[in-house]
Amino acid sequence: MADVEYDENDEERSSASRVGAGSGYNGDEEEEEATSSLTMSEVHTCGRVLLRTNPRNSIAIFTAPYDDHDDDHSNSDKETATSTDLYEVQWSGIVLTTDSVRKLVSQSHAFFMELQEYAGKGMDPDVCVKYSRLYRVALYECTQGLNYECENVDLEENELQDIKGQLEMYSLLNVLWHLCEILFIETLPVGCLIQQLLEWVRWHDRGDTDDVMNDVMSGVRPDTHQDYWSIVYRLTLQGRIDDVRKLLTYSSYCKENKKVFDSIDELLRKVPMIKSVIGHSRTELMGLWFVWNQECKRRRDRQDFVGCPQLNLLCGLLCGDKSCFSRPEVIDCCKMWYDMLVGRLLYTSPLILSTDYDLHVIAKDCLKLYCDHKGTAPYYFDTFILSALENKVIDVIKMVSSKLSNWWFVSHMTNLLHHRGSLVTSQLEYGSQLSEFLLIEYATALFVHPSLWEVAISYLSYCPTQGRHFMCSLVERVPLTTSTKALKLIRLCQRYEMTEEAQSICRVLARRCYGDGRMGSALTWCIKGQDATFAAFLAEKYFDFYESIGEFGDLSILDYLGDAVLLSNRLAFLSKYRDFHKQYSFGNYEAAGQLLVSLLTSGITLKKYWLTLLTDSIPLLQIPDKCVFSSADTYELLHILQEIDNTSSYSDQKDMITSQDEFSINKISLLRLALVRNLQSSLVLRERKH
Amino acid sequence: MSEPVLKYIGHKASKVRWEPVESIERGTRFVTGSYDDKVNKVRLYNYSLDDSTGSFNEPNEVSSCSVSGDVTDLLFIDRRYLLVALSNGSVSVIKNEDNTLCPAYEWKGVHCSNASPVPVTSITHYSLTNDDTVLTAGEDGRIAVLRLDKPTPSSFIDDKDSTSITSLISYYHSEVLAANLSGQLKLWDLRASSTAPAKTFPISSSSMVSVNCLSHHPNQSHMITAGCDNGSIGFLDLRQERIPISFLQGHTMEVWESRFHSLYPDNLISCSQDGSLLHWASLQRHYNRDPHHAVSSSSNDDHIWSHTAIAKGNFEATRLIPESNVHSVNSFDVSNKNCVVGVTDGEAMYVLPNIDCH
Repeated sequence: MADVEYDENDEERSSASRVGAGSGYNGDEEEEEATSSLTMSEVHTCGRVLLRTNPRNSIAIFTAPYDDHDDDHSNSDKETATSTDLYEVQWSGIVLTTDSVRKLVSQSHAFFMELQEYAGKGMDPDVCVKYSRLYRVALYECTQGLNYECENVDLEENELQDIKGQLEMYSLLNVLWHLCEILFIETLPVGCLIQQLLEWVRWHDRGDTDDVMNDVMSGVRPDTHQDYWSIVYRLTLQGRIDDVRKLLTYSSYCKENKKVFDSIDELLRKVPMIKSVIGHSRTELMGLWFVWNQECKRRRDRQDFVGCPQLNLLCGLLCGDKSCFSRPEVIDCCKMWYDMLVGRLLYTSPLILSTDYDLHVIAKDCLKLYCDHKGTAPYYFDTFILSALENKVIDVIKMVSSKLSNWWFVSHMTNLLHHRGSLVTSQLEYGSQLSEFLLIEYATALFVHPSLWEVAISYLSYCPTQGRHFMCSLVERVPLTTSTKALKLIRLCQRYEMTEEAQSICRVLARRCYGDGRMGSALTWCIKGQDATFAAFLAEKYFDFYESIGEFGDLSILDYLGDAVLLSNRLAFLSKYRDFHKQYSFGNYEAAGQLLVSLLTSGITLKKYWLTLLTDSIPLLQIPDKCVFSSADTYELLHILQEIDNTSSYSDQKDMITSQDEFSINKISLLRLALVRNLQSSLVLRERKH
Repeated sequence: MSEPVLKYIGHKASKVRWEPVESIERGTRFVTGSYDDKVNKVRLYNYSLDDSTGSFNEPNEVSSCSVSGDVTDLLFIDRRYLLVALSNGSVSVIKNEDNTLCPAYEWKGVHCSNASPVPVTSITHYSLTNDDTVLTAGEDGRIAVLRLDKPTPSSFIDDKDSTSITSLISYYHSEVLAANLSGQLKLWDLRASSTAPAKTFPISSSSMVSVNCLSHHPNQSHMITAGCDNGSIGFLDLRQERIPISFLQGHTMEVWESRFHSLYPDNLISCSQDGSLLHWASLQRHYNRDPHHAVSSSSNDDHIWSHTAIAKGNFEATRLIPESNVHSVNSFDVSNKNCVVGVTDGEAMYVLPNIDCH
């Protein structure tokens, strides 16, 4: 990570800094996240830094030594600063160094596409829940994969740290996604929120409650285990009442005081776990819970459990006594502050709704208690959770965008929320909806990777306002390494109706092949791109090559052009001209002659080639005892010859006749002679026929 | 037929090939070659039966080996050696040592144009019998002859026609058929001294259609299929002077590969840019056919893939992977036990443990 700060006094650098910030990747956070191979000290030892932005989310930095007059800047490192290296500083919207994250990207892309398909047909909230779960499965598989990758022994230390960092982030994102799913995507009946939250806490139980419980139970006397009461509290907070009851049977105090045990066991047994609410109204459920709660309080006030302080505390928890929840042993038993929160909600307000203000108050209180107890400040991730619990979905999106170098979460989540209708956003300053803006960010982040252009463009195609602009400019920047890849890109352009881009790909390839002297391939790409201008140019080049060498190169494509000749007149001319040669070589002189005349008279032949074509008629004119051209044809040819003679530039300036011109003049007089002779014999022939 | 198994592999694969095995044993390993990645790799996967449950395990990567460019083609010489055609003009030899892939040799810059390397597009055996010589084709329009014991290409065939060759297959003893980007097929006799092809003909005379792949019938090597960029699969009979071509229409975009099943040649499988993997079989299956019938048959019309049968549309295509796949299926291979593996641009792999073949 390189935090590149620019010196305010240095004009060059501060302007460069503006270039970086103004490139559309909103502001300061991203600059902090720029990953770079250039360290700060290196930047300082170099003199002037030149920056240039590009659409691959990176800037190229060229460092040049200080000028001589910049004396105040010169230092002892001046010699070392004469580096001519060009650095690329890239800020990543998603780190794609591991296979697991790549799998997440491709898997979630498939889900994303399916979801958009559904969205087109009108959205059912259940579909949103289904896809939210599928995304979560993908996230879970990603974390499992990263876990597996961590075990690879061949990894370098920094690679391992990198993977561990990714693992940490995706595990946390999974927790957050699950919470957002419960709060914003699912439609829950009254009383079900707490069940879902319990499920959430149990699923993401990062303290591995089960391991500890098994460890405690494996001893001969579990109640003497140091974690015995801690695990009892923890299970209570997680609502795993059956496990609590099982553990309590090991308690020596309970064994000795059967009556006390029976009392607490009865309370536990009767905890009103609201699993199914069908047929119950909120008031009924409330009443059910109230009765149980009163019973707990009564027994506690009766001092049933005073003999065993831990048991008394447990009962306090069941009563929902706030002071009990803030006891250090209770806080200690929780791995995360939200474990405590869910436990407290379960025993104080089990029918809470996601929109209740209480949820927010209790959450804030729990976080504060937890942090005070641990002596730490809230971790940034805790603020995400807190915002979600405050029902501030936009804040969650904003915070995740700004704090994590990961667009995956925000883009997919906002898209899902957008379809769910639970995202009300106003038009953003930067000209698009929030969900579209984030999709663009994610897509451009993916595009940085050489493999993911297709996925990136597919995401952009779902951005109605600005997507197209991005698609067009990104497609042009996909390197065309092989023809197969080019064909794939052309198909992509066709799918999204980017005709110009497809043509430009073909033209780039055609030019490249032409530059390499591969005329056949160049012409093929021209025809694929229906590029008439370049085809005409290539046809001329073909002809020029023929004129200079006397034979055609890359014949086979000319022989089988098919309907591609319609692309350009020049190509049609070339193809016909090639036909003429073929007919001549097969001995079909009449047909060859007819072709030649039609080539010259139809107007598809460029004037500069007339002489060459007429020259080709000489062998036909000189076939003994045969008159290939009729008198009418000969008149046409003579007419053309005259036109060549009239328009030739050398006719004006007789003094500046070059050898080339002289050659042409000789040719013309030779041709005239041959044509006149032919006219004579053709007339005689016609007479005879009559 | 069982449902295809979908596995995300975290890279785009351009080719997949089963490791060659003796006909009676079950192939359990296949290789894939990636393209477009920061570091491209050839990966070896194991796909085996779990003896305890009787079902297949998910394919898992056993070993991998980095290569210096995009993988454009893969060819097994035998179980130990694998040739890899690369986009940087090189051909790499990879050795499989106890299920560990390691680079053995690389012919650098086999295909070049103006001294800059161009992609190698196809690689094939020199002839159906000769094992230690291979032919490669490249975008420079040349064919190179590589002997496995020689450090440099032994010769080149260059017919002064620079259109990129897209696919190359050997045909009988010393003849080779090449298809190019502009849709022409050229037949060369490698024994002839002339560098000009013995025969040149277009796949379509009416318009320019590129041919992306060629393959031949396992026991009638004059029977050729050609996958075209308009989604059709051409069938050619090289024995006849005027080579007749008929087409099967099933795909809508480039057919990247089309091949007959090596043991059940009445079945043809093809994959395409449009995201489909199709299994073609005749509607009128000849169940009680004499196994030697096809070889000895002189009349072409008796053959299941005859031009008349194709023209009549006697074939049905079954989709092997779900329609929800929108990504190009770049390559597939069928094992001798009818297990099909296909790889897509969606960084996914589809495995069909047992397709229905007759």
